[in-house]
Amino acid sequence: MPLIIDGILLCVGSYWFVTSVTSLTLFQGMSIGGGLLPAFASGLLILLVIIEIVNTFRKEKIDKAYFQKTIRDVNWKDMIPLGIGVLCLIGSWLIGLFLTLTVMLFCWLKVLSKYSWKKSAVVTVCVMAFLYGVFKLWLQLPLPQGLLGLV
Amino acid sequence: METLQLLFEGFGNALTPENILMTAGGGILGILVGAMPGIGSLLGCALLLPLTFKMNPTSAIIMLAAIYYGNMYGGGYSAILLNIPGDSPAIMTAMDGYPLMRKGYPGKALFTTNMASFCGGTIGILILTFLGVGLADIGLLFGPSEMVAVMVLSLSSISWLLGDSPTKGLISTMLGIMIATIGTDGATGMPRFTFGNISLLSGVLLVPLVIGVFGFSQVMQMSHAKETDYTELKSTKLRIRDAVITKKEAKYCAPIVLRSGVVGTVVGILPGSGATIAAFLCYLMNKKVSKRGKEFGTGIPDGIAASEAANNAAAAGAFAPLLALGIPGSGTAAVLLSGLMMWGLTPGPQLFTDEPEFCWGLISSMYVGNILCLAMGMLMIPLLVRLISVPSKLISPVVVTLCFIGAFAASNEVNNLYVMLLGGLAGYFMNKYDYPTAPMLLAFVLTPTIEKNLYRALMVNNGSLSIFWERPITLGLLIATVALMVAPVVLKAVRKGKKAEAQQ
Repeated sequence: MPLIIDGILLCVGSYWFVTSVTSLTLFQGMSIGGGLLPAFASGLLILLVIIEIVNTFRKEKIDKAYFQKTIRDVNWKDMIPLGIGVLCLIGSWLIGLFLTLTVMLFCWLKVLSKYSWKKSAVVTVCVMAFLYGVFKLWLQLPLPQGLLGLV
Repeated sequence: METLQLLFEGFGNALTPENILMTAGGGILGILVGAMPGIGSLLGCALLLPLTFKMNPTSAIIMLAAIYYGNMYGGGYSAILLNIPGDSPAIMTAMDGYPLMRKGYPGKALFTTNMASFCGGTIGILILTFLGVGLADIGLLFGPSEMVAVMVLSLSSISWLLGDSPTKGLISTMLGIMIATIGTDGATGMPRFTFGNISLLSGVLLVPLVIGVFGFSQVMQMSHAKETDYTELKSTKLRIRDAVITKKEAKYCAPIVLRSGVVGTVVGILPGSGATIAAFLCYLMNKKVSKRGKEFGTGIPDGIAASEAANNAAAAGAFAPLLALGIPGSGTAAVLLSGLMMWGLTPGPQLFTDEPEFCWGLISSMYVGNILCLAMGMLMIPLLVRLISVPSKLISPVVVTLCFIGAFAASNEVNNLYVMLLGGLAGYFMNKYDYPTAPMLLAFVLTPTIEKNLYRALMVNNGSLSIFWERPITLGLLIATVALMVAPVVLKAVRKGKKAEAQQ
């Protein structure tokens, strides 16, 4: 996995560096341009990532088993909240953020945390009522409504 | 003597029933707003400004000021209990606050944050009372080159945060700089790395990024972690005196609070700095100079004290240039300035002579408000500690809900939710593979100020770098930076030489 992360960082750094040098100006008139700082940071990032990759190659034997092992190291259950987060983004686009979060909270408590219907409902209502009171009624935040025009 | 007399007259004004009520109300609202992730002092003051429309100017500014420093108290609570800093000045509080809570000492962490906030705030108010006007004049001497030098000094302290692997720490720093360059270039007005997305023109906001890196990544890690046993906490009735830190810990914290209080106030006075930079700078400074500096980040009260004393002192310091010069040192101070103008007051050198009742009433109310916030914070400890005995399977979905609402509330934009999720993913892998997150956040905070001021400094000096050694304050700050970077290496070499001599 560290090598995969280094690879991603290398790609991001290279994109930043190329864009800074080619599309932005390093110096503008008598001062610095918008590309100088990102070019400096991404150039240094590329150098540091290469050092990290060299260190990894020195320490480990890089073969198919290495990649299988490093992928096994990640507990993919940890990605469940991220998946739920992505679903919430889609939900907020459809039915609005507040309603999506209400559904998410109830389903999480019922399905993942295995609470009873009653306890899940009570916790959901209490938490969301508090948040609605603070953010919507008191602070009057314009919560996104979604395609269906719900809150 | 005259200052003391004016201050006592101010107390007469601040201690009227109406103004005490305003101070207490503002303090409670500030703590509540501060503890809510994503709102922060700027949004809190801006949203609550209309509440003060019909009040008299003194009561109104007293209430807004109480919201401002109450916010600094509240920001630390969610950082300690949920690992989600309520506002950006509380980021460094989470570094030690959350680990200390996980060790089973939530009361101690909350007690330290309250006491450090109170002491730091008091130091800031004392400096504001006796030296505020003079310091505000010194603040005016800080032009772009001085600001670059201050920020470089802050950035150089990243080396103290790099952890076991300097390469990974530096990668994290570079990532922070790169993320900070997304959006419209503050100096030239050109869009950078926006991928054609209009919402990215305003750049990546710190608050959703921090909520993701700290809060959401924490939920991801908690999803398979064993439930922490807090049954002991649940069964015992926690009293405030159980949360008090030991004499030994207080002895370690006292000099830290003093240093952070003074430095935090000075940073608060500088235009464009504010409580966030003050908290970062003081945390790093104390990590370097305090006796238990090496243990910072492992969950000790010292780290909480450094950050909380600094951000409260900076909040007080921000009032010096605001009142004496009419220059807002931070975004929140700008909202307060707009309030002052709305009430028909003109901040500037004449304000202290033309409106002494107003100025000294405000300063006196800050002493009262600080005491009230401390009392409220202490009373809340047993209640807040109960929160952590809630099992993680219940707290995780609630934290995710807070992360979403908090990230959105930072600027009322759905794009913040993407930033929060990406920040969560990045924070998760960074924690898993030992990339320190603090250097990334520090670089992210400092980069825009450095870039903007470097651009201005070179522009005013026709592109010549000589401005950095021709201006004495700039030169002094740069020498201090080099000295701080070189000193540890030289000292190490000297010690090594002495050791070798002794062995021979």
